[in-house]
Amino acid sequence: MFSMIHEKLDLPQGTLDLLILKAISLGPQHGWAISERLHQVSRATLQVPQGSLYPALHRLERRGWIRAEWGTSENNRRAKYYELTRRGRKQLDVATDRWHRLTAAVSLVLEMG
Amino acid sequence: MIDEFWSDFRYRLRAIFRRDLLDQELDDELRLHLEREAEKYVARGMTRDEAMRCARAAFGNLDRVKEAARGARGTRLVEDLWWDLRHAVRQLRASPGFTAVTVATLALGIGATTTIDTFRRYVASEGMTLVAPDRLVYLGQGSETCAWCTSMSPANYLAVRDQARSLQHVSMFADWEPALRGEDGADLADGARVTPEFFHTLQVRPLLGRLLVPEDATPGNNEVIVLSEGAWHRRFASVPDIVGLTVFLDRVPYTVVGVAPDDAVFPRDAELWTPLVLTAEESNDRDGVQHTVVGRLREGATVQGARAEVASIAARVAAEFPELMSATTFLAVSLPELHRREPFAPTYAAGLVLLIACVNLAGLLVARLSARHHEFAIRRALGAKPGRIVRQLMVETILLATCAGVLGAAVATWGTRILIGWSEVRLDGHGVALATGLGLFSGIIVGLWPALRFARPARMGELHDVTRTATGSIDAARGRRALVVIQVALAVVLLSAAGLLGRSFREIYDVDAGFDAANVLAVRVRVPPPEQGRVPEPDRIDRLVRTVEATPGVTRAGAVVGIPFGLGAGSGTFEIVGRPPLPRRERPRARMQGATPGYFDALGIPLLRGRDFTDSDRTRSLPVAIVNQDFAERFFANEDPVGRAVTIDSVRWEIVGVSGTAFHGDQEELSRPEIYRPMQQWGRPFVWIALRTRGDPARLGRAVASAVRQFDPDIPITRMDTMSQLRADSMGSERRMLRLIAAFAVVAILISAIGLYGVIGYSVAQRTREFGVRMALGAGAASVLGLVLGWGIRLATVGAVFGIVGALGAGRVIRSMLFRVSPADPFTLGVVVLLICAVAVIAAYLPARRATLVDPLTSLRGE
Repeated sequence: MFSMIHEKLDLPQGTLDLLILKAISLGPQHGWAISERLHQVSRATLQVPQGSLYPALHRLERRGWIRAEWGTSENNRRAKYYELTRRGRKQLDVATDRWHRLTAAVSLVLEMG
Repeated sequence: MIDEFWSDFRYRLRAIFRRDLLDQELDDELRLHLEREAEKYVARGMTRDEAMRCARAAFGNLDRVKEAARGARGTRLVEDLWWDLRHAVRQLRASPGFTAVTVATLALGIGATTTIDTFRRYVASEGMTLVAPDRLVYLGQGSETCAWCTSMSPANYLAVRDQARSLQHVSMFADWEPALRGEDGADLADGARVTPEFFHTLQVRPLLGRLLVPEDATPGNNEVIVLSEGAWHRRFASVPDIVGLTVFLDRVPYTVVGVAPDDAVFPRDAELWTPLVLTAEESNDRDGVQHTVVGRLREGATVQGARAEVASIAARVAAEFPELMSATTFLAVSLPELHRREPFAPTYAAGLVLLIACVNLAGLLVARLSARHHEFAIRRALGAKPGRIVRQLMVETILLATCAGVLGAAVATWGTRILIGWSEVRLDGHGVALATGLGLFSGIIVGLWPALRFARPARMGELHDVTRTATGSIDAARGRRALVVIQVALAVVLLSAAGLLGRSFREIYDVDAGFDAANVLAVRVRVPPPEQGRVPEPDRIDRLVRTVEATPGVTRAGAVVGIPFGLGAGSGTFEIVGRPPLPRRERPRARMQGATPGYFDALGIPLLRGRDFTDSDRTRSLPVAIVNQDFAERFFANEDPVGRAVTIDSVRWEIVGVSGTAFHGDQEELSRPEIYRPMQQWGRPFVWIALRTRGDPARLGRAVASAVRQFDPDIPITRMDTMSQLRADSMGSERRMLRLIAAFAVVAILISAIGLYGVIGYSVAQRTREFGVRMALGAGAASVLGLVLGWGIRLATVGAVFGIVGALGAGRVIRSMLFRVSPADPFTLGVVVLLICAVAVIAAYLPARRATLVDPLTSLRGE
């Protein structure tokens, strides 16, 4: 019924946090920019409902992994910019490493025999 | 880790207190997102409106996102609870009647429980401030099952002290109330004579000076005392040089050697301690006078071990003195365990009141929630989660119950003061915590069921009912009726207990005392031994009596050891001369009395045979005795006791008279055999002087007191009361118990009445239409009135049936307190049932009136 090309992937539980951390690891971004970046970099494969970004951002802020600051956006409006804290950067490393190990292990099993 | 927690905490705090700012920021943030998204679509050639629509579609449900973002702040619970709390306060304020009634009834229940608990803890706190009180054991002699045997005769004490390996120290102490000479007359001091191990046993360190040492307990060195810290402050104005001071106790100079700290005061209220010197004779006494014995367990020893060991010592003693120790063993019980044995019926009564209050709370809650039925139906239909509604209802109930708990603490403050009347019992932090905790707890327990019941998902049809008055919650109504039946049953239990105690009280009051209690003043004095070096005067008490008798207004006076309804006389064994000798344990016992000439006359006790004592019954004259009628009947059934004789402690006393029997207030036995001896021949340190007066005896108190002081300033008056007061006071604890249980019963009835009123009022409101129809069809006001009153009586009767069953059980609990009244007294139970039915009629009357006033037209149109 649907061709493979149009099928989008739902994010596994908990990976949204990792993606957000990664998305802002290069520099402060506001919410929409993060959403855009995820969309573009994943070549539109990942299904991230734009709305679900914000609760995640606030949760990460509460945990102290990211920090928010009000700035001015490209179109000259007040925007909330998120950036990684030191703890967030450490968390990004840990989570990335864990992700790699997980996917590697899963691949190994799937390629078995 | 700590770091993370801290930033989390700061974030949540900000989320709570800057909530509006955060919401504003969230709005700004989301708006920016939507605008940027829309700009993207505009750039692709959409119109502004189309772009905005697409942006929203891509974003998802805006409100849900906002809610989720707020949820991510982690403060949702706090915010919701805060909202619930404000809502609950509004709800409760909207129905002040409901709030007042629930809070008041629950507060009474909680207050009653807290009052009793406070008192219990006061009783149990004796000695608990000592070092390791659970290592202290009371030792006693008695039958194997004796729960209160905590005293021993000196010889048995010495056996335990010298032989028990499981006990580190064993000490004996005897009550001692010497007259303490002060600046204005003498005053009685609360003291104890203790063996020198006493303070070692308690492990007390002196506050000042030293405590007692073994050398103090040798004759000649024993005139030393240790004061309690409280007595030092109270009686000696905390003078710093108290150690070494000489004080006169019973005219004898004692040297203060030290002060013991207040947390070591044992027994409670003790003011001073002096060494107990056991004479050689006392040291061999196994069945005479007994004193309290306390020991401390050796390290590693257990109470069970000590118990087994003293029992084996008892077996050895019994083997040596079989006659004295038949059916007697030695017992050991730890201090906390003894406190736990304290029986206390009001605890049950208070618990019942709290139970009734909780049942009432449940009933009122169900009634109220039924009335708010549509509110919940609508909210559920609008998508409120059941959990959310349960939480909201629970917040309401818990708020109510907590208010009741706080108020209950206030009730308990008042209760401890008024109902119990022991001034030293005070509500403490523990009590306040208990009251509040009880409130919280009962709120949670009681609130949960109705909350769950009403938060159930909406059923089809409930919403249709919204516009009608009848909400159709039949099972809620059934539940309420069941609750009212329980309330009535519990009230019947309490009321019956109060009734039985009241009847028994009346019975005791109605016993013919055997003397004329009107216009008699009873004065208890301690007559100390004479000044050192002065010869004893055996007729001192007689002279004191004559001095007091000369007070204007006094017509006759006499002294006695134990006055009816007052303490004083102990019992002792005797033998009847001319009958076969008996082993000591099998000898008959009688109350050992002493009297001066004129005592029988003063109190109005008739002399049935023989003569009264006279002034010529002196030390050196023939020892004589008067026995009471009870004695004569028991021991001289068909003979005349006058002219016969008894031996007491190997002395022969000739019986010269028989007096009438006076009732002393013993509930087990109406009368006991008594032997009176003249005080000149058998003097005692504590005596009662009975004064028959013209007019009100209480008015003579001052004159009598000054006459006593003038006679000898070293004679303290320890008590002064009219005979009627004494009689009333002799039942002080019964009276207090009755007052407590009666107060609880009144509260229980009130609560039941409120419950009945609520249920019947609700039923009437539900069936307004039915009444309209009935009246339209010609039913008279009387028949409607009868119908509604009938509901009330039916509920009360069902409750009463259950209540009677409970009352029969309760009667067994208080059986020991009843006097000549059966625990299943049909009269009392009958009156209680009638009373509860009357209450039901009264409670049902108002709603019944309302039912008769229903206008058929309005009620039908109202639908």
